[in-house]
Amino acid sequence: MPDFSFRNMSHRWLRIVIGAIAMVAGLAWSGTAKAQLPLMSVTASPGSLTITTAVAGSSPTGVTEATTKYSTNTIGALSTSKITARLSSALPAGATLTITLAAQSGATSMGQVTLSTTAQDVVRNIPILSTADNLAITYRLSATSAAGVIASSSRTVTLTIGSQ
Amino acid sequence: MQLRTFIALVALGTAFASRAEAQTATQTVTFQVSAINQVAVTGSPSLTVNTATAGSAPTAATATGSWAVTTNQTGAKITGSIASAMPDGVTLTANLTAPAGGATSAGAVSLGIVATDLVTGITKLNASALALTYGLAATAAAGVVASDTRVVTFTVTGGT
Repeated sequence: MPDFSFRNMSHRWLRIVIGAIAMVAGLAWSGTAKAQLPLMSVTASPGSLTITTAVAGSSPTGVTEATTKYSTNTIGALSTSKITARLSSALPAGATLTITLAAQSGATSMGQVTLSTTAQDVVRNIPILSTADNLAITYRLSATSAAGVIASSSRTVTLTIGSQ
Repeated sequence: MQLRTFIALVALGTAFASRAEAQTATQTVTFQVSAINQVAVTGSPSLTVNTATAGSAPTAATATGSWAVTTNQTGAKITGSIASAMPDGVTLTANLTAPAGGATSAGAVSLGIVATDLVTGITKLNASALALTYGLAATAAAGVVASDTRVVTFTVTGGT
């Protein structure tokens, strides 16, 4: 015969309450630990950039890709933030890859920035206590005639958000 | 409640709070440049042979235009041809100035229905406003030739 005495029922509900408190504590700790830092995310990688033609007499015609987006979260950040960008390795001689990040309200886009292995500012003055979603990222590939034919290659672009 | 159970619940709460956001984000950018060879010419010249020095063949006429080229390969060349042959005794020539950078002009080349090299050794460059000179020559035996036209086709052939 199950014991539904008041003493046993209290112990059971007490365990449930303690468990709930533990869960909430975990949620709160995780949120607190991350809320001290600005955060960002990006959508999938862009489509391939391929230069295929030129106007006779001019350099090959550059191409643009603007399908990807980024989002930021500076809730809890202690100061304004900025985003930098860098390449995993340099492009072949004569080829240039640039990036342009649209800026959220209150921030400043650095416009079209030529990517290199050195991190460079692409967005500045991102205000604290803000979130922004689906901001445009635009890549442009250009090449001189001297660059020649370049076989399909890839580079990793690393975007980093941090204190300005 | 046991301590192990409590810790497990805290960890579970932490896991639920995990986000995709981070201080860094990466994208993979894939790129390439294909072989590119482009040529263009400007002008539609008119050439009239209308005089001579007594005792000599009729005096040749010339007309100028310009041409432009882009290639990202090594050893590209320009050839020229006409759709149908000139009348007997009449010769049409084209002389393309070579772009700087090691290319070679063949000078004034008689145009025929078979493509003929006009400039060779064009390597990884783009150049515009290059001189193009047409020449029309006729022997006395060619007689009077009524106004006629020929389409000159210039072709860029890529290298390696």
